[in-house]
Amino acid sequence: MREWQRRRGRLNHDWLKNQLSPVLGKWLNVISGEVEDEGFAERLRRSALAEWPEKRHEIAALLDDFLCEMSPRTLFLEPPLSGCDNETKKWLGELVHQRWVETSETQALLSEAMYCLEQADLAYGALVSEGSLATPHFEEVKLELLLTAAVRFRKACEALGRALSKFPSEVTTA
Amino acid sequence: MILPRIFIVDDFFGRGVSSGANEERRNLCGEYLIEDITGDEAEPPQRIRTPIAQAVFWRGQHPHRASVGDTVENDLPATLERIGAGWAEPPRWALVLLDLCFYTGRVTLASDRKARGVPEGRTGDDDPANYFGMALLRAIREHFPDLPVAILSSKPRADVAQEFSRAGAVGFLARGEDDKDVLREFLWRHGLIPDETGAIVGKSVALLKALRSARRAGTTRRNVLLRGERGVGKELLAAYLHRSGMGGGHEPFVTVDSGALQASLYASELFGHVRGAFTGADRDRTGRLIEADSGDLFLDEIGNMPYDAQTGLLRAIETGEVVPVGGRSGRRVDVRVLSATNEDIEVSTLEKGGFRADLLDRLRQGGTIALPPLRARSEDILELALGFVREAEKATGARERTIDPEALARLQQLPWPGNIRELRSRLFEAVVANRDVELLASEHLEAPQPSRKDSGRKAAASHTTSVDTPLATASLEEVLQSMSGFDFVSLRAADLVGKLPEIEAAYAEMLARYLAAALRTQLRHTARAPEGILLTHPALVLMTGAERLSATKAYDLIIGLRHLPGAPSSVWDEDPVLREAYERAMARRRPERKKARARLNLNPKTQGKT
Repeated sequence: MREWQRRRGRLNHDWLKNQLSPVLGKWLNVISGEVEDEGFAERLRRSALAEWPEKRHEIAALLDDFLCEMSPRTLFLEPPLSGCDNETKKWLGELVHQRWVETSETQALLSEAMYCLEQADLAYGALVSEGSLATPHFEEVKLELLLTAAVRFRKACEALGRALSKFPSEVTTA
Repeated sequence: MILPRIFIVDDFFGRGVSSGANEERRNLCGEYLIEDITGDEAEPPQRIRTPIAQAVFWRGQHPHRASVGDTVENDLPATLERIGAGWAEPPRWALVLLDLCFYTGRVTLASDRKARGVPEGRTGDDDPANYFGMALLRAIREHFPDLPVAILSSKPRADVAQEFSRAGAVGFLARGEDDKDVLREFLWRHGLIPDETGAIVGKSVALLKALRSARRAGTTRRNVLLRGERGVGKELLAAYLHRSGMGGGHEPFVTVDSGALQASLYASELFGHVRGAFTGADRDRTGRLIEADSGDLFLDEIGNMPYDAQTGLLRAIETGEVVPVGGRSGRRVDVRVLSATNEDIEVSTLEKGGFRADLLDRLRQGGTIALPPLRARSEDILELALGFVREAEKATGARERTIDPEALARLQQLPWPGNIRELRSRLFEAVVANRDVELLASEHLEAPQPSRKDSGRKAAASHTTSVDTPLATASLEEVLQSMSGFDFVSLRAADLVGKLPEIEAAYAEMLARYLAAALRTQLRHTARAPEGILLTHPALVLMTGAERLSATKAYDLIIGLRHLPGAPSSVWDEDPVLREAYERAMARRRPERKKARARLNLNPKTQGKT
């Protein structure tokens, strides 16, 4: 498994989908009064939501590294193609890479994921603004506004998760 | 309200956490609105106002609580064992949810920091071709074919879309998409869940599958055919299906019992009539189809529907228009027809020409649902019995009682040819007859009378032993009273068809046994004949109660009993006392045999056929 895939798994599957998504889903139910869990709001504020700025950068870096780390050019770093002479590896690797970028859907995948990341970040910003996350009493602001912002952020995160899932799970040439 | 119980196999949410709680699981439950009843956490549960379900989480791996340095491995046998334990008896799993990707390997400092007890993963763990969830799915389907299993994963659906369908999963719940609503819908559509209103009692798999079929059928407006033996609760299931529809049971639900209607009134009942349509039609009448407009019409015992009415119903279904008898114009209706039968109605369409095949096709457009007989859901008998006993106690003001386990076991062993209706009736009788007891014991229960078919089979199989029913232990006076007081009026026409030969056969067999018993009481035992010497005349005197009875008359009576319509030849041939008595009578009365038959008014056509 490529390191890029491991990073994607940790960010998308492990964090975004297994940790952030349930906590946001539950938060909506807490806001609407369906769930009562003492201390949840504080845990949410201090952990899941507070992690976003850092994770956002990790996801952006992941996307930046995609073209480099998942390019078919990397096949020349492993047997059997690693046995080619350096000159061949250079020109053929570059050719394969360019062709992959032009003919595969990599650019479209990257554009979609970056757009989703941007939307999620905007939604987070709105949520922070509405919810006054800096205070421990952020749930005391107008519930309706908070709910709207939370729903928006959750949907944006879900869209981001779906976009990240679309990337290929192995190095391909097309 | 009893919540459906689901079993969730997931390495991440199912894992135990050595210190503190599995916070991710807690959040997942809060997201899906499910109560965690796994019981492996010390923290007080969160409060969910209106939970969708209860859930038991399972890691599917060992160790359940892993720490840094431990190696985590998938555990198929233990998972199957746990599923089996929760499937053996109620409350069973309504649904199993399976994760796809299970990470294995060592728990390192780095992986533990990311999420407690989670291993770093091995190459291939997240390869769709190696998903442990798929191996689990195939194993569960093999061991528990009735258990509905769905995939619950955040992995891309496309990776396993064909495999999970082929392996028998009911669907794929992608996490993060309106989760609680999707889960609620999945449970409703695929889960094995009892009738939450309590109208239909029971939790057996056979019943829950029928309820699930009804819920699924209820979501469309297509006609549905309900099948099942008499007394299994087809009308209740129709009402359940009605409630399961989009309208939640608020639209009309109109019932027509085809068995209770006279053929001449059927069309009028169904379609209505206009004034003057026939003699006695002194005013317009609205038919049941119109009453059921926008709702459901339940037609019970459709096998009894007259041919003319079938034609009219077929037209109404095809055109959506109801024309009353004697009317010229119709009215458009939107009616879903829920029909029921306990007959092999396809045979009727093919052999008798009694039921239109084209109508049958339209009556089951939305599917056929089979309700299991009570003997196939004996585990429901306790709950049913308790309900009926309480109902009877309330209705009659009798003392409240418990049910003796021995009595319950007996109830569960009986075949119940009349199904739930018969069980209810039997328990009502038991309560009424024993108003003041505090324990319903075996001796308070009369076993169900075998159906005529069963009775015939049993008689054919064993004529030399008495029938093992409570009737055999009842006094003769009680038996005679039951027979003479039997209320044929309450039976439907279908139940009366062709019963005379069976009743005659039962009568003839009873008299044969009576004679055998009387002959045995009069055996004279001597040293030379320790088995006893047969004395026919005293036995017939005993039977008739006559002060004076000639030997000739006694022999004639024996011959007459042997030749009653339906008299069981096996009983007469196999019982040595009866056989000897008959042979002796024939030897003495051969010249008079024809005269004897004439005196007994026997039908010569039936003679020799027994």
